Amino acid sequence: MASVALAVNERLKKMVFEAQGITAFAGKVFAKVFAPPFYWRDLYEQIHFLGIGSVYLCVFTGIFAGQAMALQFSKEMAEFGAKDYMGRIITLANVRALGPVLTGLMVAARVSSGIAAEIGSMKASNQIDALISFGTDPIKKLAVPRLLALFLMMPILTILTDTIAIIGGWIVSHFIVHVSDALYWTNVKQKLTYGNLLVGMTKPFFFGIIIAIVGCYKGFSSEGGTRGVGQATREAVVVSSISILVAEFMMTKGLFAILGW
Amino acid sequence: MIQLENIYLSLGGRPILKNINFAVPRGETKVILGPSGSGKSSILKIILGLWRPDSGRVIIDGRDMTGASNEEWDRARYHIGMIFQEGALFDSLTVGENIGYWLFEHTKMSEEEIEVRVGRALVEVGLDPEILDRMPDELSGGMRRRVAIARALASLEPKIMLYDEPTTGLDPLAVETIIDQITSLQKRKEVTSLVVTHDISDALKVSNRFIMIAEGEVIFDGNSEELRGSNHPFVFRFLGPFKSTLAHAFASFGEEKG
Ligand SMILES: Nc1ncnc2c1ncn2[C@@H]1O[C@H](COP(=O)(O)OP(=O)(O)OP(=O)(O)O)[C@@H](O)[C@H]1O
Ligand SMILES: [Mg+2]
Repeated sequence: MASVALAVNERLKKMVFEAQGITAFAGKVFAKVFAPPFYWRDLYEQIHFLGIGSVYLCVFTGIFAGQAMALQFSKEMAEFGAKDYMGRIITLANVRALGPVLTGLMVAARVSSGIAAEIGSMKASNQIDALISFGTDPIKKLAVPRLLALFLMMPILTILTDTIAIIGGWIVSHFIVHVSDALYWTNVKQKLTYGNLLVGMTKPFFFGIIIAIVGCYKGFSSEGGTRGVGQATREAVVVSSISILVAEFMMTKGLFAILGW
Repeated sequence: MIQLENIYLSLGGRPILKNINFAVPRGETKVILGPSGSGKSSILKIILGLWRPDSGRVIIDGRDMTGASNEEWDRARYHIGMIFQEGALFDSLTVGENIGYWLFEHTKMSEEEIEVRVGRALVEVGLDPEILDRMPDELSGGMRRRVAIARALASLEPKIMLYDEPTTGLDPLAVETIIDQITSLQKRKEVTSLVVTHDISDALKVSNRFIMIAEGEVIFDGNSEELRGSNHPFVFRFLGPFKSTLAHAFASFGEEKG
């Protein structure tokens, strides 16, 4: 028992230490966002690579998540004679929670690991030192463009996932549950309220920041050559995914409080 | 001029450099010899200001850099060219973009002007301009090293050149060209150079002044004759297999200078 407690204690200590490290790193990056020079070309490349490159993920996520959820709900709702409300429940669940979280987790898996691997291997091969020796600030050159790219692209990707999921729900409603199209889309529209959109569209900005900061932090702090890069990659996915889930919970609470729900 | 005084450095609680003292006068070349893990690269990183020592003074071209700000270091680095171990080319940029990196980032030169400079630097290191559009991972080890030298040359006039194992792992022909580059730079531009290597025969070709590092300490500082005559047990062991090379090379070195 004692050894378990000790191990848990160690884990907790490590987590606190890590959280401090990430916070300090985030502060450093934020402080440099508005300071010249600006690496427009890197920003453009990152938007392309991180953002556009994640579109297919969102399409897949949206279409399957939307349909799966519609199928699950359809039976229950039919029992209560409420299948006409399919559009409502699907829109509500996707826009408020599922869309942002699933998009966040998928992008975290693809992008956070990619960032950590790229920056980690640049570090292992002295490219970061080479940047500094050529008078370039690696935070400005590498971290800031990735942060901005994800900050801008996550909301757009989330809108995409939401849209595709609602279309997926419609496919199930139309072909399997046989809800009239007009009814489905009226219901969807009814639930696209200001409040729901606020709850759903605030989160992606923060998820974008989490993914970028954790990925960059893990890359920059990786040690010990290629083995260190592997570890950094793995940890980036775990830490960013967990952070997204925690942030999801806290932000939902916060937003509900603000909206008085 | 490069001067290190009483440099101590520890990383992760482990002492890496212990009381390093040496100087390279302006326009001269010194070689740092030493086994793997002895702290050779760490010394170069301190001279470049990438790592700050725990204590001791770093003096570059007469300026004491102890406690210098990042901006002051940035300015000092304008005149230092560093050839990292394995080259450290930016692997997301083409060869041309790598060589022109500094000009592109820090000058207002037009792309045409930069291209001209890049082409010139490439010729200086004896590479074919047709590799300009290749990516670093499409190059051989020797070419990467030469591109790294070209990258340093295309930046603002280097007054100091630091080479971290520029010849390790290369075939004899590639070694020859790299050494030619180092020596021609020495003569032509009067740069102060520091060359890290663990190959004594290569070391003898670039300079007659050596420092030997073992476990983070300078255990020898002198010329090849003194090196050969050294009674330090570690120097003796390190040179063991190279004694004959050293004797031979020393003889020819003497003749050349003769
Ligand atoms: N970032 C780091 N963190 C902790 N220890 C390090 C770090 N970099 C290097 N070391 C340690 O410092 C010591 C000296 O390393 P350094 O790279 O200076 O050696 P070297 O003489 O250049 O070796 P090699 O010939 O293999 O390149 C080694 O024991 C190494 O393990
Ligand atoms: Mg080294």
